Amino acid sequence: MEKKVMLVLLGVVLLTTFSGCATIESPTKDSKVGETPTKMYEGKKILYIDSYNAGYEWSDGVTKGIENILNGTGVELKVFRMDTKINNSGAFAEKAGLRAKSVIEEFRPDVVIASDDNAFNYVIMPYYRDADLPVVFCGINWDVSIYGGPYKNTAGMIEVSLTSQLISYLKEYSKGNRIGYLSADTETERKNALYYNKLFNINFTKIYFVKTQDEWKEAFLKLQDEVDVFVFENNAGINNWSDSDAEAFALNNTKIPVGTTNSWTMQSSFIGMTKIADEQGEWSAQTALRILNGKRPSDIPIVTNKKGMLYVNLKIADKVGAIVKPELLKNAQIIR
Amino acid sequence: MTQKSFKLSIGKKILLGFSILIFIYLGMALRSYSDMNEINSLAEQAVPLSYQITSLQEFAVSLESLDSDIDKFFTVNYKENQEEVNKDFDNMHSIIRSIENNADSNSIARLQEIERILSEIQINFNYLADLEQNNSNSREINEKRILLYELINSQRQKHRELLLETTNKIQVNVLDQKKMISGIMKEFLMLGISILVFGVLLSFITSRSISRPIGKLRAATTEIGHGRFNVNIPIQSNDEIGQLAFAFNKMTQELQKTTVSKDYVENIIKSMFDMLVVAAPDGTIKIVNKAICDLLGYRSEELAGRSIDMLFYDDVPNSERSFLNELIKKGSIINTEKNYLAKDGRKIPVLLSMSKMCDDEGNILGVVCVAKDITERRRAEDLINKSNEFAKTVLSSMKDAISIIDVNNFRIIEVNSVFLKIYGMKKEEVIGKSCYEITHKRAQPCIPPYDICPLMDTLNSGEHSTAEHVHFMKDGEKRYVEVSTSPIMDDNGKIIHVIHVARDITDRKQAEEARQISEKKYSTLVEKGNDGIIIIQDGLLKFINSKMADISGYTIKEAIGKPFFDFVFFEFKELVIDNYKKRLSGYEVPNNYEIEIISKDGKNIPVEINASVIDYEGKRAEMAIIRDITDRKRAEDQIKLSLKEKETLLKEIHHRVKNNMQIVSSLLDHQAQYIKDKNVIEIFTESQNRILSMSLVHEKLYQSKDLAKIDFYNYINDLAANLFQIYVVNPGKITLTMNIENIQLDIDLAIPCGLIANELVTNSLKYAFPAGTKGEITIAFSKKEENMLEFVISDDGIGFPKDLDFRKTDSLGLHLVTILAENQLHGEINLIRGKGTEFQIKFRGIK
Repeated sequence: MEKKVMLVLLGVVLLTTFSGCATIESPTKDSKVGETPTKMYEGKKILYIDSYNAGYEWSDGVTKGIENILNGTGVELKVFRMDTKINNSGAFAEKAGLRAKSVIEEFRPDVVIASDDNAFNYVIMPYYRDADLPVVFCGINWDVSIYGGPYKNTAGMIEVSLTSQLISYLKEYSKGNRIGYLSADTETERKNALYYNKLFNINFTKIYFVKTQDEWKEAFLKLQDEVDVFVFENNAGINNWSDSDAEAFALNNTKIPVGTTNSWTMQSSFIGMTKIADEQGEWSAQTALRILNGKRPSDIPIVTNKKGMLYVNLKIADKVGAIVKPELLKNAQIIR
Repeated sequence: MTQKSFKLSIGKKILLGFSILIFIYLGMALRSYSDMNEINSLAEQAVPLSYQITSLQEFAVSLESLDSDIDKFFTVNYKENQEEVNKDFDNMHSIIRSIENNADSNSIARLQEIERILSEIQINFNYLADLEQNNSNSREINEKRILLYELINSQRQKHRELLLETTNKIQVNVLDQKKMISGIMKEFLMLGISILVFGVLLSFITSRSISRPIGKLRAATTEIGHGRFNVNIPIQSNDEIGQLAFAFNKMTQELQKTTVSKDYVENIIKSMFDMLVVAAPDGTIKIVNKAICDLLGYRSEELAGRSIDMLFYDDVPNSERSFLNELIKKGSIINTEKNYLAKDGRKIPVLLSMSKMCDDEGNILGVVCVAKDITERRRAEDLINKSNEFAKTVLSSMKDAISIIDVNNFRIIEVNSVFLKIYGMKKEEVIGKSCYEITHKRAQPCIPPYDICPLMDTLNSGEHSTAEHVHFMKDGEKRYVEVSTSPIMDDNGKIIHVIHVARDITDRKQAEEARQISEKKYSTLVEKGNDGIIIIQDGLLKFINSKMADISGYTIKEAIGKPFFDFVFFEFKELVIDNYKKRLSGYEVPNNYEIEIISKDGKNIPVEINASVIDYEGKRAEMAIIRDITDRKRAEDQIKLSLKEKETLLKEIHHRVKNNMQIVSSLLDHQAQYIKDKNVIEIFTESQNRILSMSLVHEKLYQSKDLAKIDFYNYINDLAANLFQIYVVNPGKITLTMNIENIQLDIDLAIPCGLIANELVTNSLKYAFPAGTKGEITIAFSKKEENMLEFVISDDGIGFPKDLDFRKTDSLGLHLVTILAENQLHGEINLIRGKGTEFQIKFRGIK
């Protein structure tokens, strides 16, 4: 008995000694709280359905955002492109929707990320409305309720343009209040013009939707005289588009401030207030991981994009004769 | 630990331990004093660095103020804003200089870079201020503004780097101090713990060095008390306790020499495998060993003091007591089988030996019983008995007649009940008799090779042997049996008996004979039949009969094993292969069909095949009955040729009739050219039309494939076209509508229908539309229920005169219509007067 008591006492003393030493000597390594454990999602599959095509800057940005988040998580990512920007007929989109459906059936993803209106309109709405398959959408312009959404199996980020802020900037360099609108003749851009008026009460004096670059030039010239500032929304969907041609044309013919909401049309615009495609992709991928962790899509609130990028094109500024204000110069990315 | 290592007494050991602790503590205190001096020196170095950080923070505030004032100047462009900016520049220059006074060489280089950028910002700002006041072009102003902001950002970066460097130096200083303080704390803590551990160990060792030997002494004393003197306490020290242990060991050695231990006896009893009981003369148990306790399930305390009777299974009450008395009288009982009674009531057979135990004077001290457990032996004996019983049961339950025969004399030594039943004998009539006497009813054994004896085979080969024999029953009935014999050997491998199994195969034999007869009949049928018969399996000919050999010209030997499809004419190969595969796969395909095969001499032979699926040699196969239909085909060709000739003849007749009628019509036409009276001409025209309508039937008949029927639509169409050509003056005024179903009419019906159509359409054309009025004539022909046909000719003209009965007019045409409809067609005719005129004729078609 005496022996046992002595042994226990000795054990306690030694334990106290070494634990004390350990406390003193414990290394002050940075703890990696919140770091994604390697391959935590091994065996999980996510399908990203892109409404458009690789090489389209917006699609590439969303893809990059998704890949940034999913890299190293162990998730198997598959990308399906519907290619409906170049092929913009409804019939083509319906066929692309059916192909996407067969890809889903074959790949059997745990979560689907559907980017932009057509992926939602032609895949999710007809085939996966209130289904068991969780869907994260992004890039849907302004409002998902036009597709009857959100559904109980969807969560998503609405894409809103920063047009009202853009127009505020442009007006600082304009001589009047007349605002014009020029864009490719696509369903999305027509929807955008409608929502600018509906949500921000922006009354465009003139609106042009064009299908070819010649039509764009014609409208560009007309707007120089018809309005005091105008928004050049998007060139995607304009046939035979040439960036260099557009840039040269804008440099020769710009007289009034022209703004854009896309980075790829900055060469022919004065100020750009653009959305960041990566934000849509990153949010979607993070939300997909939350769903894989057991969160229900219906418990995740619908959000809108928050990040933006400001651009100033000095060559066009020179054509407009604008001395750019300090706040813009300090915050914008300068294009020379 | 050896005896030498503990030469010190207990008190001195304790004093030595505490002295070591005090020395350790003093050493540590001296070291800590030196460390504290170093910490003080580090703290003094940190003071100028903290001043530098404060100044750099002031510089940062001024830089932001400069940025803000430049913005204001660009936005409002007032002179006072420019002055504010210049003040910011002065302030920042003075801050830099104040830092340089206390900075080290590294920081001074960075400060000089900061000052250079500041000067550049100042120069650019002043230049830009001039530009804006002179309203220069926007491009240059924008570019200069951007440059200015880039310089300010660069200044921010440089400032940040210097601030970071200074902060790092302070951090390193603080960390060094912290590290040293931490080291001192750690050393003190370690020291405290070491002293504590050392103290505890010292106490433990001291306590143990006293208490452990005393404990051993206590245990040794207890052992001696129990009579065990072989205890020895190890001496581990030379202190007071060691000396006590030495004295104790000496005492036990003395005791061992003078006293006998009872352990020896106990160990003998304990290690015995056999069960031992020692009882008093009155039967009271005194000693039991472990073996009996383990077997019966008692503890030794439970048996001690109780009667020995309780150990025995009491088949006969109190019998053991008399048995004990007998032992006492005899002195011993050796190896008698008895049963022990276990605590749980089990009966345990034992081989028991008992003897009485006496002292030197012969007085009985007790009884010693030694027993051995024979349960396993009993179980083995039971198994053998059961095995024998089982063998007998097996023999009796066999369906075959089994006998066991002594090989020395062929005498039967055992039979089963089936044997007796089949042979109709009693056991005593069989046992001891020779096998050939009982089964073959003869006086000597079977003599090979004509009379095979399987028993002899088994005896010679030592192996199993079989043969078919004819055995005779007791009543003389003859039975076929299949005999099989197997050897029974002794331990040396010598055959001593043979098992003779006779299976009654009389029924099978009779069935085989019947089958052979049947096969012979079947073979005769197949070989003597008029049709060829083949069996195809896996695409190959497995069987062909003689007739098939005759048809094909091949011998049976040549044909067997060849692919059947090689014999089929190429036009039919695909059909035959397809049918063969589908039929074997279970699909329904025609069983009867005609093909051509190629004979050995290369001739095409038409044959009719009747195929079906059969099982042949355990596999699915196709059996085909092949009939040579060369003669039948030849006859059919003859008939076809004959029909063709008749058809040609009939066409020729129709052709000639039509030609003759057209000649008659031409004659009338020719004759009419000499007539001036219009009424007579009209009569001629009408007659011509009637002849034409009949001729048209014959024309249609010889043009049609079917010489008995014509397409009524085509016929009426041609007929009406002819009438329109004759009577319609203004084409387009009167139209013809035909609603005629696709109906083929016999010549007997077509001619009267054509004549009726001729008359009624002519009437409509002539009378219904006066003075060139417009109108429509409709001809309809349709099937109604129960093979009834309805022929309707109508117009929407002026209508049939209301007071006129079409049956009683002078018109030959209407008279003809009525006669044809009622007498030729055996139908009924009705006139419907509405808008225009409509004649409905209903008649029965020919089935």
